[in-house]
Amino acid sequence: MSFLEIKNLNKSFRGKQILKDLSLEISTGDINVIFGRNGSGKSTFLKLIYGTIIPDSIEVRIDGELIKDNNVILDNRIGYLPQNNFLPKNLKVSEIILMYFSDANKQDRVFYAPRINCIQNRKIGHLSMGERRYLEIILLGNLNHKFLLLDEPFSMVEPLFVEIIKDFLNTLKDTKGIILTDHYYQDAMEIADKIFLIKDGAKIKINEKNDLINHGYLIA
Amino acid sequence: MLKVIFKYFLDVNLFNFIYSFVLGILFFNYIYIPFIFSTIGTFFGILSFKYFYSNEYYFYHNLGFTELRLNMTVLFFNVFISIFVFAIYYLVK
Repeated sequence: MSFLEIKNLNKSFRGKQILKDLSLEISTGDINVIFGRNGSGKSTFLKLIYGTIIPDSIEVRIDGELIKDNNVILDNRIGYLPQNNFLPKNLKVSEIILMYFSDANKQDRVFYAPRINCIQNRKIGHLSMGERRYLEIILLGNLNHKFLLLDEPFSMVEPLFVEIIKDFLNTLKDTKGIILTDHYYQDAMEIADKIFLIKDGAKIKINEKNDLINHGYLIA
Repeated sequence: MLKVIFKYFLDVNLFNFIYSFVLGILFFNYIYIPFIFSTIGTFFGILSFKYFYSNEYYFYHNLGFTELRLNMTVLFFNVFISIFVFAIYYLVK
């Protein structure tokens, strides 16, 4: 089992502090869901951990080992699904699978994942938003990262794919820890082990749907 | 992984080649095209990729490639290509 610790995370934009001294600990086997209203800093939180936005301060440790200079990308133990599509549009699905995985078993696992055979000869630019999202999650999930940061994995995905993605994320729990943000709260809550809400820059523990109502994320 | 780096190399140099060719013809001399290719052409090629395809960096990040590492690789190969082209040119000349 591996542990990811995030401590002392602070970020300000133009003098306004949007994330205040946040900390989070997750282990492989956990799906942590983070909710928050638009602009609350959910995506920023994930980008700060991943290192693509520079924080005011942050401490990221995996299994107690500090990741120096927040060089999470180079360390390659954390994967990140951004909010917008990141796959090159001029490549075919099969080409990307072969580029991403040199190991034949991994390639097979992706090629034989549900619904991939229907799209494997199509270019990324010709896939629907939902198909792209699904492919991105399947690709990321099969890489060797111990932890995944998923920014809105259910966004623009048709219900059938949502169910497949939820099943897939549940199978990933055996080997990975996941931090997930999404506005599709019912789907996210179904697979969550721990739930948090980011409000006014602080992290609030959520135990049930009513807590989301009480904190103003949902209406009663 | 080489294929992945090569993809970035091609994408950046598609812009780079256009800029180098146009600049070489317009302002300098075609002999200087390799020099432009390995200097300001590379710089503007990277900037163009960042402008048009910034989200595709995550394609590389998830495999452990930082922007710095990708850009240094492109720069290294472009300098090598330029020196090679200059060498061939002077040998033939």
